[in-house]
Amino acid sequence: MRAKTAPVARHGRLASLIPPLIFLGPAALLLFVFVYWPLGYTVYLSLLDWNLVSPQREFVGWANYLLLLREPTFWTAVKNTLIYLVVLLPTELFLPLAMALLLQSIAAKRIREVYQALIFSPTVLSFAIASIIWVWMFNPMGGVLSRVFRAVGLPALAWLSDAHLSLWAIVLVSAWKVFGYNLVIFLAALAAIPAEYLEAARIDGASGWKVFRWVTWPLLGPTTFFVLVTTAIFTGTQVFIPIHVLTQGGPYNSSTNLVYLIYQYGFQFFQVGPASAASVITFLGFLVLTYLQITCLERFVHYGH
Amino acid sequence: MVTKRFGQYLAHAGILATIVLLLLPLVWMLSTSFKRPADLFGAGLGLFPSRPILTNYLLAWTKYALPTWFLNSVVTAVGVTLGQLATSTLAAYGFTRFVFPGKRLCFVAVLGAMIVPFQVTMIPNYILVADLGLLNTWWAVILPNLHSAFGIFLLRQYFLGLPQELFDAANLDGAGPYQTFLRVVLPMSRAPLGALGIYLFLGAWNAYFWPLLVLTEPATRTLPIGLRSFLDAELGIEWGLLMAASTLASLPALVAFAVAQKQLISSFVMSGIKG
Repeated sequence: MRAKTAPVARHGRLASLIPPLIFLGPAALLLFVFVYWPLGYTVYLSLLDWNLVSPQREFVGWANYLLLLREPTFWTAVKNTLIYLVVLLPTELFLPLAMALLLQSIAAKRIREVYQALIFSPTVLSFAIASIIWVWMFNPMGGVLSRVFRAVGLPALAWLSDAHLSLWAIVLVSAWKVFGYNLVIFLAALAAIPAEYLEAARIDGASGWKVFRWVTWPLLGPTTFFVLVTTAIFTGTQVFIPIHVLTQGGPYNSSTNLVYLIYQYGFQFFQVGPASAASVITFLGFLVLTYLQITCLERFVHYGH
Repeated sequence: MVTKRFGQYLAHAGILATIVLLLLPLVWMLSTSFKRPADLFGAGLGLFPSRPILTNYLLAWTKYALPTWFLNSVVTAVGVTLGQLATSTLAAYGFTRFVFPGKRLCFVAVLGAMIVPFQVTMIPNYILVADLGLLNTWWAVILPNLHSAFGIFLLRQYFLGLPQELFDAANLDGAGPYQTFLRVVLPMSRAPLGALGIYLFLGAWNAYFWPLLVLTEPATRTLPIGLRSFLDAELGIEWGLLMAASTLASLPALVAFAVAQKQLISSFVMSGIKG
């Protein structure tokens, strides 16, 4: 508001730019140097043939993109990324929501808070360290999962070395990690719904399910949208961690995803071109996904506030 | 009435079953950390150590480079947190208190930065850090992470909610933008800054991908990277030691959660409700 009252003389206008520059300058500079410039540079690198260290860089145009499109591993990574999304999005939407409704029905406030804290506690663990624990949980010899399976008369499974199971092991670890986070978001949103709305619906004779379907669910719209977006971002970016710790994308690329593929091309094969091309494709996919979520959901979501 | 009470019991049972499943990995980590090597692969469920020992903790602390990794984790996490808090607070205040040409564009750029995944920009960032000669230093982790678009967004929301009279009063008292920021806004923002600080610290403490790329020398590793490297010992991973080390590495986060549970959850929720 200060600038509005500042004198409009030329030197005054320039002087009025100094305070905002001092406050916004550091963040603007950092965002430019470490986010926007690298984003553009990635596009440039995707057109080069370069091994990250050699002084020789050759311009090859679309060759890296064509190389990727002909590479079966790339399509496996695309397919797996989509599987991770399609499985994790509904799982991490409906299970935490159901649990939040169940928690809300608990009458004793103190006990409810203890439950909430316990459910949330795994999410503060480092995802990498949690993944290390899961490696040991999945161990076919001494891991607790194989012990439980044996106790009920089932064969112990080689979760991490079986190409049919590795992806599901990653899904399980990821679902476990993000559950408590989405739960507290839903709990807060449920608590923000005015009690009169629910009461009014009940007085009109609506049953439990009908109250949820026609009152609670529409009012949760913005929260549902938020949870879907954050879970999609989590799935796109963070699932790299359990992949790197538990399976290294294997066996036979069965659990790899796009981000892991970028990592492999860039930092294991030192092929900067294909790595950058995969980055650009991933980013475009990300933009499309964000756009779809915004446009699709805006139609169904009721913005109550 | 009877069905209502029955419903409550059912709800408790369902929640408790979920809690058991969610906490199983934590219990398994703790239990293994007290086990003797001979008891790791025994029969039964093995949820509790039959002959608990403490030596895993001693060995983990001395045999692994745990103290060094701890220090690396603390320095980088504290550096990143303080840096992000500082730049975010300044920028958020700048967005709320000044009118200047290009302000909308600047804000869109902040929002846009939130949807650029770091994985998409990591190769140029790596090249930059390598060219600056910072690989395998604390600065390699801290420097590219001194900004937080999310932090700017969150604090801007908070500052916008501060009463206008506050700024008018400061104005009348002759306080310029800098004094108003230091003497009025900062002291009033302890709660959101604290919540955001915990949130950012946890993120930095648990960072994995970027440190993995830039900290390759064993002595420069942070805790998650250091512990991960022990899985590469294909022959005989010492699970007791590794779980003891994992417990020690998780303690700061778990203690922070136990102490500041309400603020922490509210800081996670703040983003959700307003987003």
